[in-house]
Amino acid sequence: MPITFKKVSHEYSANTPFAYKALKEIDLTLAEGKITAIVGATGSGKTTIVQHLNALLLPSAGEIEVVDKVIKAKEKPKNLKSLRKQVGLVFQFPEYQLFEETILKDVAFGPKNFGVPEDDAIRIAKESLSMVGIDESFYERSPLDLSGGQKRRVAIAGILAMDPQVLVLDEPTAGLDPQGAKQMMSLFQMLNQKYQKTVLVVTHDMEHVLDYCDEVVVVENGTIVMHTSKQEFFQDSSLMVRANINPPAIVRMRTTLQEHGFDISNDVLDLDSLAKAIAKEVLL
Amino acid sequence: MKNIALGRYIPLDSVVHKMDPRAKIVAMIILLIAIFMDTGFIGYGLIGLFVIIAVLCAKLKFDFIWRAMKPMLFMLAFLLMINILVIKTGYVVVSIFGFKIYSDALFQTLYITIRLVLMINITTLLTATTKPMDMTIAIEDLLTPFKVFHVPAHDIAMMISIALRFIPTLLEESERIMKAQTSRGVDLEEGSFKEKIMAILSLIVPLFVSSFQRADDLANAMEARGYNPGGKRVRYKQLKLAFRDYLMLFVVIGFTVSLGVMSYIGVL
Amino acid sequence: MKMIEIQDVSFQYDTENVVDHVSFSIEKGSYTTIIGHNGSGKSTIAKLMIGLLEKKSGSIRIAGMELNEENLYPIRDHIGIVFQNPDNQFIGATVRDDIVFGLENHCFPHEQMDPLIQTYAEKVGMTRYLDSEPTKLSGGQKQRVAIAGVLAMSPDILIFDEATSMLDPQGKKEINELINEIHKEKQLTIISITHDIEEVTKSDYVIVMHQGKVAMQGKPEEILVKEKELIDLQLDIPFTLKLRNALKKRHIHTDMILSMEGMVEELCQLRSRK
Repeated sequence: MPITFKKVSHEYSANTPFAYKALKEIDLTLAEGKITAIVGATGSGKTTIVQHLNALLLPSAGEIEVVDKVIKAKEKPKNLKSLRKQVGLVFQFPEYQLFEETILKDVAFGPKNFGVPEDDAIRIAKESLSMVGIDESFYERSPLDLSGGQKRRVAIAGILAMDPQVLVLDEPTAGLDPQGAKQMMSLFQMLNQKYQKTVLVVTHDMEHVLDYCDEVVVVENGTIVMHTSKQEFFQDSSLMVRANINPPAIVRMRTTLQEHGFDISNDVLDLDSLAKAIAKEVLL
Repeated sequence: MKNIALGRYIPLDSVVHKMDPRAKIVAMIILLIAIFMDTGFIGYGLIGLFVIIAVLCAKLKFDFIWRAMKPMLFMLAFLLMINILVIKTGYVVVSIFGFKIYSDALFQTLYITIRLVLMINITTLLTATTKPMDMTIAIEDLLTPFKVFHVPAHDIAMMISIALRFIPTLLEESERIMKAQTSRGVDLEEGSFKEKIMAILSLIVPLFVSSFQRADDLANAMEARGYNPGGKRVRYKQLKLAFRDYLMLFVVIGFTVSLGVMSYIGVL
Repeated sequence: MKMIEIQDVSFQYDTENVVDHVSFSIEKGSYTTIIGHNGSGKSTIAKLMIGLLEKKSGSIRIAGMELNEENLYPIRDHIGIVFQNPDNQFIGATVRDDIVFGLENHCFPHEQMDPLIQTYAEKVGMTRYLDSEPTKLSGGQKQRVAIAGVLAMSPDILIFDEATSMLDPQGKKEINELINEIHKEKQLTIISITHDIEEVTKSDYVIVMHQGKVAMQGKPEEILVKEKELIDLQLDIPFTLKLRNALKKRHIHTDMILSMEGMVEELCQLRSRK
């Protein structure tokens, strides 16, 4: 079941002098089983979109269909808990939500909130930790003893433990080093491929979009200005420049070469094809 | 949160806003003393008049003053109840189903109410017309003479100013943590007592952890920019008493002293 | 002339060596980058240089002075640092108060403060926001203010400890441009702790940290070509190097040029020789 936004608007501090329209009648359908990137400048409304997915924010107008629930404006949503179980939302710097004495207990906290008995919650916690690559030796340690990247994995395990169908991540690689960031993105790719999770990721890093995502949604000033496949998105770098997005290195190289008269197709998105295209031009 | 009027600074361009915060703090203390002098209803009437004039000078809206007092209404109602139950002197004003309300109970309550209202008005007048940072500086200056008694005037002021600076940051942070835990199924409204305790812990522990992190970072940033708690410093913001400040203090002191004298000789 | 000389410096948290017999020196007026994965000891080195942490052994000389307890404050006059988190280093209630904070501590004469605030607010493009509170500013703007606050004390050395890592691409770009501008204009010695490999390619000197030790150091042209070592150290490889390897497989041999523009130029030359 896809996620559908129908003419959704959101206004912060409505009816006050500080009122601010963060989303303006957006329509958006997110396909199931894919990794979709949400990109756009700071303050464009990405986080606002994301927080509608599990009803942390409610639309001021319009309606949203998520999994089997419908959230309508001006209607108190029912079964919030079951919605939040189905859509796992990982906040920016999620390591700051860890609070239990041990890692295992912290990961089991989510399922217990949703009424899973203690024993089952612990079993699920163990499974979730192994999914994110945290082994048994960590179970009884305090989450505060871990490195930044490990803490984040534990926090993500805490969300996975609720067994959501949709995993939503708000800038999950912020503050990690390049290697740590790549491992994090591979983790989401694995969750998508092996466990068929629908993944939505808010990111600024176009290299990650290129390497790990299937679709791209561009948000600008509270509206969706583009929603296409990754291949199409990276074809025309002028689109990115207009949206104030720094294209990935390979697209910049391709564009610069094209400007210098190299005949390279816009479909070229990987190193090998680029080398092949250059070879055609340079070699006899 | 944004609608709380008590203690809030209202940026306006008025003579009261322009006054030296030190003078305003001293004036406030003197007026509070005047309230406690027990000058009777006429005396309070005069103080009330004085406050009204001050509010007008500060260009504050009475609606704002009213909102600042609203949180106290509950307390006053509570006080009235207690007084009615406890005080059994004076004459009986009304009798409901055999339960008698005595005149002194109403009288006492009215008296305390007037005092409280005046006190809130005077402090609101100070906080609404003085930027929190200016207040901090004024406190530092006013405490400086007490350095003889090892009162760390500067440290106190620095702590207050940093606390003020970080209040909005921490509010934002708590909102974020609250949302993050809600996403993990935390429900602050429903659930058993044990669940509620866990819910509160899940907010407080992360808030503490991140506050310590911030404090650590901030201490580093301050030290790296040459901050030395015991050392000498040249403060950028300097306060200077102007003629209007002396005039205002003169009026306030004059007013209070004459109230005191009148009540002593029994005019009031 | 050497601006910073670090010799055999070690530092431990508990019993773990976080910085382990590190030695390097930095030329006056140079732009040095320090790279390494998180936890490699980069930030600890920065804190040691500015005396926020005390070394266990070895010697640190800044602008010709030995860093020790007596010299701590005079040395901090020479060296300024901008940290990673924009929120946690904003000390003042407003932009103005924050810029002036260091001047107050360094006992600058009161009459010089206002002109200095003006000058440096203008330098970082924040004149319009002098009376704004930090909550009204973006991360990039807060970092600009931090830079102005440090510059106002006219240091000789500026350290950026992952100063752009919490900013969005726009903020990152603006701050990097500002750093370059300051470097060119003021001949400051710049040390940037970073994960941005493109920034490294543009620096004069690069120090690679791994497990508390200096794993490699040298000019970027010498260091960034060591593909195997970089991978072993869990670091990023410049895109041009990746492309060069892919071209090699197709029997096209290019010189080692780190910048994209340089590589395009080279490929154009190769094509014209066809």
